[in-house]
Amino acid sequence: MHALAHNRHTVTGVSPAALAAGLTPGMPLAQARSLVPDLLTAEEDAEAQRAALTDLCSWLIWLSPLPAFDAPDGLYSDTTGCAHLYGGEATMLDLVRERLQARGHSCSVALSDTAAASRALARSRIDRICLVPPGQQKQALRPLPCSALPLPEKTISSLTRLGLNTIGALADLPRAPLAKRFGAQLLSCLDEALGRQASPLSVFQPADRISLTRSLVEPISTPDAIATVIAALVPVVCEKLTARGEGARQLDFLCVRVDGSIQAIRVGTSDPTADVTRLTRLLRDQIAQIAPEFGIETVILTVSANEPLEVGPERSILPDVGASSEPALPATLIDRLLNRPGVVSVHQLAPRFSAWPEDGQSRISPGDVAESTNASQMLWARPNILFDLPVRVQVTALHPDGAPRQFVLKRQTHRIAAADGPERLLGEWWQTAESYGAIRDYWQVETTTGLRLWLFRKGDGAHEWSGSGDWFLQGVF
Amino acid sequence: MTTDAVARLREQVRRLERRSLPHSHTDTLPTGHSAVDEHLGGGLKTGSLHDFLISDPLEIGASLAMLLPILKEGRGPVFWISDTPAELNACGLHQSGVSLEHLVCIETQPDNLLSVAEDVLRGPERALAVVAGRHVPTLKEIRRLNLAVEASGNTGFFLRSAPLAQAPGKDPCACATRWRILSHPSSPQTLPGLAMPLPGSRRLSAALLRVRGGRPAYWILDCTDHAPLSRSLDALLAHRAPPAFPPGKLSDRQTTRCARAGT
Repeated sequence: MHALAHNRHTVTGVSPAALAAGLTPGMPLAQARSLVPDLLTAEEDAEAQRAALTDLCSWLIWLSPLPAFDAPDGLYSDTTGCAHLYGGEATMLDLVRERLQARGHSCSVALSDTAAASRALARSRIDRICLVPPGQQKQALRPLPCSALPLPEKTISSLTRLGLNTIGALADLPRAPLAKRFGAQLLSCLDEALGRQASPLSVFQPADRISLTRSLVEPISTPDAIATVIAALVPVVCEKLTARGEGARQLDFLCVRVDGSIQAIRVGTSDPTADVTRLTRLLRDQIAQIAPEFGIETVILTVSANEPLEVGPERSILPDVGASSEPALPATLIDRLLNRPGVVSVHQLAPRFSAWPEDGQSRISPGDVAESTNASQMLWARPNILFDLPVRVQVTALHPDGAPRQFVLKRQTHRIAAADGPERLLGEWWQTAESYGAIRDYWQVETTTGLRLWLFRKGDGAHEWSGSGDWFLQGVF
Repeated sequence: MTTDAVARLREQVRRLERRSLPHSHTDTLPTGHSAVDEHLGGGLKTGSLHDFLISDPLEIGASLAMLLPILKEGRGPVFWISDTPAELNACGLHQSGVSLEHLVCIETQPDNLLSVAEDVLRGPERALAVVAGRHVPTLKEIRRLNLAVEASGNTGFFLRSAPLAQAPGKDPCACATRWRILSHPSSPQTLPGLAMPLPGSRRLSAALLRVRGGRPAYWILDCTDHAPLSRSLDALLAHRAPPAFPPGKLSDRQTTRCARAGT
């Protein structure tokens, strides 16, 4: 790991293997490369590091409820009163290290009376466990170098120049001259490490899932009662979401029945929302899916997926007469339809480039349509109704130029009064072997009764390799 | 009679005439055919239901030729609700001028078709709904949907199959209008060199079977804005030149144009 500092690249973090090869953090990158020519380096990404550390900090909450950051690469955890849960302090430290290693981190763990002492101990040893008995941190810190304390670079270099290499040597000196020479910061660091002065930790509070549990006084089983419970829970959830500036994308509503089994319903929304009426209505539509049987005694409403609320103009929910010329799709209605039982699919159509017309469109989820360009450039007319499976027809008479004169569909003979074509389409020879050289000739025809149909012939009518020469009906104009 | 009683009677009459609703000022969706619009007083009314009978599966194109321009006029998204996968074609609809951004296809189970339609039509969101299903809605179901559209001001269209022999469309109807639209032979354009004439502009025979507060009517309509000529005119003339036409008769300029066109 390296980063740009003072116009040159400096090594900021090393792996155990690199440490064994003699590289240390703080070394210029060029020097490190000269020591190990095939060095694998990566530029430091502060943003990603912070995110990873936040992840790890919210993971550490299993150990104790009070984890805290030590940026950029350390974590505190106040384990006062927690050790007995894991079978003693030594076992607990072993467990922490084991679990961190299972997650792929090499770490050094230290436990002592004060946070600052633990920090100094942990940072001076790599990949080790250090357990200091109560009241012994002065002895434990004594042999450590001064650089283990969180001091500015300048103070450490001047301490080194004075021959004060260890914390022990520093602690033995009289305090007044030290304060006069180096300022109050050095002394407060020292006092915090030795436990003479308490330093508060800024405890990290992980963003947990919003979940509400309500135990009911009496088991409920009627739809009205369930609706009442939903109406009571949703405003609380929405209030919490609004306080975080987030909106729900997915809600889970779990009903624990008297017999202990769980009935679950899940609703999703197409955009993050904290709208009480919208979420209430979505959940209320699903009540029919719940089978209460002997009654529901506990309900749990969980926001299982949330996203930051988008700032911007509200999507139109109220009908505005003539106000907007370009109305967007109503998100509320789409949500309701998507979550509704009995609806097979909700989709929009988008043209797609493809050789055969039956593959010429794709179904996409609502709201994703981009303005198509290729459809407007199409020279030939396309039918409004298109059959995915073309219907076989029997053409009984042809004109010399290949236009059909009459065809039979379902034992009914249609005579053709007018025709336009042929439009020749070639198969996608780059896709499959059978569409290599495949040809279709499309005709728009109008029968004597005025029906407008889209017929095609497989093949060019002359060569066997281009298609069988059968006629099909594919669409209705 | 006291003024109080008169006021109460007035209120009752207003409720009966459904003028108390917020959407009572009737908006209309013009059909694009002046004769029809004149007869209906501006076009199809919003906030009501319209019934289109399709006598044959192949005749659906005629009904669509009437319906799609109306949908284009309507504000708000169009919901195409059907109990089978809709056989709509995106390219064709795009050419007909329907905005694909505002078209949402909903496929439902057959039992839920009308309840989904009611949900869309009753909602506060402005929407047009096309309901295409095999199920013939009963009068009660239609009246229920009628209340929904009256309350919200949305417009619904039924596209339902009703063969001419079995259902002549004379049964009572709770919709605002009932149509049976059939295709009618057009006047083909005969161009030199073509064995078969090209189809002319589309012609519909539109029968307005029932209309609330009006007379039934019948028209032959010309849809002029359908498919443009599929290729440029000189390509048509040059490429499809009659084979009997002696090449020497072409002037020099025409010959070069033929060559440029790739003949």
